[in-house]
Amino acid sequence: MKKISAIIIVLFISVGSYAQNNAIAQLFDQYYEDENFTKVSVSSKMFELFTKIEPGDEDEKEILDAISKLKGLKVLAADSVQDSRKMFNEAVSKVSSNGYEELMEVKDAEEDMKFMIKEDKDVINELVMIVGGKRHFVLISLYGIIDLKNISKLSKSMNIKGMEYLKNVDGKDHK
Amino acid sequence: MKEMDELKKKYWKGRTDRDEERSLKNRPFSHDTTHVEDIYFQYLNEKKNEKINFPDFDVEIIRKIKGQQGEQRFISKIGYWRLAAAVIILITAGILFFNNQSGTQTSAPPPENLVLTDTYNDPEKAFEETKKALLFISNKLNKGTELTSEFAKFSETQENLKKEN
Repeated sequence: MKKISAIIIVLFISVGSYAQNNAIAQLFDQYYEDENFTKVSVSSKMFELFTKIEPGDEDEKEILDAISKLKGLKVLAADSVQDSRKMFNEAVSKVSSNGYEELMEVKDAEEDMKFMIKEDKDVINELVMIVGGKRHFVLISLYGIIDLKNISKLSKSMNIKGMEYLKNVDGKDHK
Repeated sequence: MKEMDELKKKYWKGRTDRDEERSLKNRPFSHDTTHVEDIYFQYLNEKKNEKINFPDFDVEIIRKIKGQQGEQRFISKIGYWRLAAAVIILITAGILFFNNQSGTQTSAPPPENLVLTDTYNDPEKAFEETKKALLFISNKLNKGTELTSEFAKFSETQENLKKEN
């Protein structure tokens, strides 16, 4: 009987962690058909191709440097959803049960945001950012070797406001 | 007859062996014997020849034995069910565990299970999109760190004020 209980416990744990592993994939699947969402996915193959791009100016060079060690990117964004806060909470709870460590959380009147990472020997190899505003929701997940300093430098040098990202992606016909 | 009397005496003393006892019981008795001892031996002889034949008893015993075997089979059936269930659970757990293992392996640097298809076929467009995403992250990251550094400055000033006072 003890053996059977042990087996059942192991089964539940494995089922649990199996489900957890797919938390981000699940979120993308969940909103895949929803036309309110912009879905962007860039594979490691594409990142390899980026290395062949000739940098046009200094800014682009900096960006190319920052992405040179990245392996994948996924974006899920919407700027006019009713229950964005609820979605934010749902996404946070799904992702945090996925073994991600919280890096930073910022809450203000405008929006809530959360940065979560997965580290291996002091190297960040996954970064998930979830933003939930009054009507907007953004989830970006980044894979590869992630240098936060490098990424943080980008906007300082280019001085682009974050919300412009949403304005830019909105209305485009994406897959 | 004298020999018989000797045997009888020996019998009552409990010293007769089996052959002697048999000769005491198996000798021809006269039907109208009045001798108590003879009646007794005659009775013993008759009883010995009587066969025990209780059909119900046999049936009962056989039924019980069969029943027990049936129970045993039932128990072994439960055993097999348990075994089968345990094997199924183990296999399922194993499959899930190894899937999970391979899942974590691929979800380390390049999680191909997540990045299945490219949204863009044109690297230029994909690059533009990546650039935007990175800038967005960067901007938000700085927003957070700026707040943190402001707070750090604030607490530093507070500490300094405390020291001055």
